[in-house]
Amino acid sequence: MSNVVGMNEFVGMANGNLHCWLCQKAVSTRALFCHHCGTIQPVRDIDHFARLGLERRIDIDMDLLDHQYAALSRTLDPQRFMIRGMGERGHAAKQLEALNVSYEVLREPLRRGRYWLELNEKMSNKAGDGHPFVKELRSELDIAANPAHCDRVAQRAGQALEQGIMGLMQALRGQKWQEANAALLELDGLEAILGDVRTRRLKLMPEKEGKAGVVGVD
Amino acid sequence: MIYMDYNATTPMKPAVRAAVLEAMERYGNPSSVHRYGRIARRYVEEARAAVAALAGVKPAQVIFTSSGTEANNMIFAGLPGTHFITSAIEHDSVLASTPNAQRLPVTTDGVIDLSAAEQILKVAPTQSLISVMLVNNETGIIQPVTELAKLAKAYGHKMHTDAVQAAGKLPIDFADLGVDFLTLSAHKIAGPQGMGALIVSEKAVLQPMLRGGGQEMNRRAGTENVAGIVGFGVAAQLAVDDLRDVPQQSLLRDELQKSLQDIAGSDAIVIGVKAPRVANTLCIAMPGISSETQVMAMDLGGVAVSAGSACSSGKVKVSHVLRAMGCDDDVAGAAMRISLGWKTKISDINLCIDAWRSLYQRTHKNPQSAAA
Repeated sequence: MSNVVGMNEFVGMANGNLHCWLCQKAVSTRALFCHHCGTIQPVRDIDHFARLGLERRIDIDMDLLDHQYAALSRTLDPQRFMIRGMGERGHAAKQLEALNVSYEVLREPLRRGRYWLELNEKMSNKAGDGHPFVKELRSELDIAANPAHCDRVAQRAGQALEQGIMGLMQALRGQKWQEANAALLELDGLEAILGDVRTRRLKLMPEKEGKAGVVGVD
Repeated sequence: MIYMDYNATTPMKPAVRAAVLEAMERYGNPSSVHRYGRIARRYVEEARAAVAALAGVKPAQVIFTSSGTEANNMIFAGLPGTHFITSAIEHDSVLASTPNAQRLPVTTDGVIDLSAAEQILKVAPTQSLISVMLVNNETGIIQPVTELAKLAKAYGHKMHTDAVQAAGKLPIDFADLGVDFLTLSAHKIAGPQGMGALIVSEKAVLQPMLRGGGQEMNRRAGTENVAGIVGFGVAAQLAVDDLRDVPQQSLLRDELQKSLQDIAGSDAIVIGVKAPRVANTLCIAMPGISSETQVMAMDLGGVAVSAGSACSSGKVKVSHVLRAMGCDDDVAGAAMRISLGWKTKISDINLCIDAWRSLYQRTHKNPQSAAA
């Protein structure tokens, strides 16, 4: 028969291999509920895109992601399972947990980029010796003598981070895996610097200002 | 025989059927204070919470009705003296309820013309009611309801959307849409026929259309259809799985569309191809061959499809939706709607392609070689 759609795209359909934990009827890997008995199902091994009901692509519609997440999480609201048995309550809680993880991964471009590389089995495990620009910022931060200097480092890192994310996405779209891995290394370095800036800035703050910033009010 | 007319109605999911049957085994009036009544009330309220979750509202905002049509009628009957503005592509339950309404035009792509809409909304009497469907039943085209609701608010109007064809196909969020009223139907999401709901904003004031008892918080009199409501609740819960299946359904629909276009080339016109569409619907015209002939031929070929909306089926009439999009009668009268759903499989798509190919080859003397 002609016109057969790629079968691997439909692996998730109910095919008799997976069964409802309660009624033992066939269920789809993507199904949250058994369509035979209506019972919430355990978390299955599906990718983050499938968990949110999104097409698997690096450029996702962020509004759609938010709306899908909202719709799915409403259904998994623990309040709605209060009167159910332990098993159902447990599965619902785990489904919600898995949904939250998937949402966080897909929502943040950097995490999504990393996940995309993993999904495509193109993730490089090379640690690398650091990007020149990251090294430069690191040196600058090491000699920063006041909070204003730290802010300048943070600003440069922030700008580079924004540009880097765009570069990462472009590389992923073009399936330039090496470029993407390099971009990811730089972005990791920039994120680490931003974290260190915060710590160093607090140390360099005058005592009174620092206390207010760190400790807050009692 | 395969069923590809999910926009008309959907087969019930087994869990829905089981829940309806169980509810029918019991009895009790939800308004009664005794144990039987309390059990029936609990059933109704659990279902109300599930339908509320589907639309992203509080349970108290859900009014159960006998159908989407009743919910739509409730809006217009419940706001006497209001100036109504609807679109030209609405369901008959809206069009017939508002014979004197202004109609917003659509572009040739099948989407509400927002600039024309703004001109109309700008000069309309304040507190008018705008009613535009979220997804068109014939074409599957998604309408810019959020944008229209923003315009409606800006000019002091209220907004209703008929989301009957959107549920289970798009995530629905009442607040995000920015509407005041929203219509749902159970049998479009694998629930029972004869059940609908009107979602209302917390501040909305609507006069009841059915008067009598105090059911539905005095908003719709009449003893509740407990079994139907239970089925609606289960269907609403299971509809999230349909949302998860959208990417796969989209692949199936796109494969179907591409195959039919490969068979007929320029003899086939896909309606709304440039507009955002829900994943399950394909509206395709074969000019020169009437919709009715096509539907009958497909039926003989073992595939159940529709000439347009089910309400129009059985009547020989040209689609008002396609006409509003500026299609000539030879296109508007030759369109077929194929709609997929939760049971549709790859093998169904292939059978549909085969049936359509036979239809095309029988009705065209020189079918293109692409059909081979």
